[in-house]
Amino acid sequence: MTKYVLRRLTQVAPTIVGIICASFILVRLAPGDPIDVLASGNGDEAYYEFMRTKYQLDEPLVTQLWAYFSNVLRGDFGTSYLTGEPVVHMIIPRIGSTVLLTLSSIFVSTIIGVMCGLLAAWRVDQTVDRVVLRLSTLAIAAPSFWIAQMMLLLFALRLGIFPSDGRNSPGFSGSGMARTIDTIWHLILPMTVLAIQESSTIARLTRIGIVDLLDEDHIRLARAKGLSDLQVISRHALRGSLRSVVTVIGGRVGHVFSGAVVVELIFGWPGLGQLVLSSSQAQDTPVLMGVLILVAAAVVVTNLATDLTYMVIDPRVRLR
Amino acid sequence: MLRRWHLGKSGIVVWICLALFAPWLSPFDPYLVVGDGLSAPSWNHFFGTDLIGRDLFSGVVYGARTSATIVIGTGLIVVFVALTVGLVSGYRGGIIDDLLMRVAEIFQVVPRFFLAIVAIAYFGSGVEKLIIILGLTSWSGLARIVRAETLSIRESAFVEAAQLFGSRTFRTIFREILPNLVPTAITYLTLLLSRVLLLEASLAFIGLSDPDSISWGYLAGSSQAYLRSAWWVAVFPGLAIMMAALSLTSLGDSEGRRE
Repeated sequence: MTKYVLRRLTQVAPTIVGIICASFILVRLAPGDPIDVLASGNGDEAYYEFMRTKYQLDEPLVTQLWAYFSNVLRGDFGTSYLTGEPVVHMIIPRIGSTVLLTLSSIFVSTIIGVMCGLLAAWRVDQTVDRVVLRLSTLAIAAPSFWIAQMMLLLFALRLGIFPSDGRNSPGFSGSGMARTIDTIWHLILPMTVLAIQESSTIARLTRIGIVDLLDEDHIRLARAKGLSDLQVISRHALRGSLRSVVTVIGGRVGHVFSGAVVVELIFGWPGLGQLVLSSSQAQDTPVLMGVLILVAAAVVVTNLATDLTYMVIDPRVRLR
Repeated sequence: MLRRWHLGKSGIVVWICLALFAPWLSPFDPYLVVGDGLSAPSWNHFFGTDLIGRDLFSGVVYGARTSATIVIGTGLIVVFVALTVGLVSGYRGGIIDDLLMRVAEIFQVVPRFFLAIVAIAYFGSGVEKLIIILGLTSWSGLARIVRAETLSIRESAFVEAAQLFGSRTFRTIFREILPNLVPTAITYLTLLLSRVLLLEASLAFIGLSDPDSISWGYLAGSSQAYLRSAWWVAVFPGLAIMMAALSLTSLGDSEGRRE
């Protein structure tokens, strides 16, 4: 067991090292002096001098890489040239909103997705199944900003059921429970937009997982014993198919983060996505790099956590 | 299944026709002010007009050009890189394989959307740059599939037979292995390209597209500021993107299952 954990950890390390190296190379690949990229060309002599020393730009490349590395590992992603603040200070206050948005949509989409997938698999090739498949195909092909704008048009602007932007109502001064409810009120639309696409993927995965599983020997045996389809699915097939749903969660974290950028823009949700947008328009590269490394690390860590959870659930994995 | 394939195929044909014949198919010049600002869809302007009175229908027709260029260009780069990496990795194995797959892993872990945003911030956002950025960030999944296919085809009897009869490595790869992995690769490629289309649209939506060419994502993005007063600017470009993405996926879907 320890051996497996150690092996997985040693597999993760090179990936993270690789991501940091890639971001380092990206800065060096950009045309012109890296100092212009790092400082985005806006700064006085003293600032350039400061950056040169900090990233040891006059030293050989290997030393530069090492300097970059140790900075990143210490949580120092540099300084935003736009605001002059350390990147970490700009990221931290916004993480909460984005995590709330992404985690809630992953949670909701998993439940809805698994339920739709079960329903489709239970009545495979019948009307319900076709409806689930069609709808999920449409949802996956639609751009997320389009779904977001349509929901905004319908539910916020036309019907006025939900607020159109922000995390709290303007001038909201309540606290405690009232504030939580107000936040949830604002969360529903953006969260639903992200959840629609995610649950479509999950529904398809669950469906195909169960349809395949129903063909396996132990399920056939269960059926032969006289269990009904519903019993077979709920007792045997569900657990197996959940495994495939858990497996893809790492990739989904990255996907939902990406979707959140657009959704945060449309619904004025004050998270990392907004920071990414303003930074990309201002070419504030240290901030972008910080968020990129953070998101990549989140995906890697989720993948690792998934694998380790697996190991506990399913001992066979350890042998691989 | 065949019906869906035809649907996908005709979608692609319409898309390509729009792209090729945009100047003849669009009633107006999409860059010119030809009517009142924000006028609703009518017989004169099928999809209405934007803030300063440019014809949205013409914009959507010209947008087909930009998206087709980007999807095709990205596809070419992806196919080239993925085939090279996948075939070498699968056929040679060993340390090269390990190395290439670790690199592919990095590209799979980092969300492409973020990678593209950072790359655009560094290199700018012309159409050619966008194609290169999207191509170089999208190849890893296909490379892994090509590698897996190569590994299994390599073990099959006909490859062994070819090798026994003295077929050289180069010839074995191109005559025996490559043709046999094409069906699987195409299925995955169409799916991948539909994602590239959506990715490009999202980038354009947040204002990171080529400022000199009209694209569907750009049109949709411009609608955000006056969503309250003009729903049509948001609705139609998004529908075009969805149609194009659907045609790509249904093409691949049935292409795979016809086998």
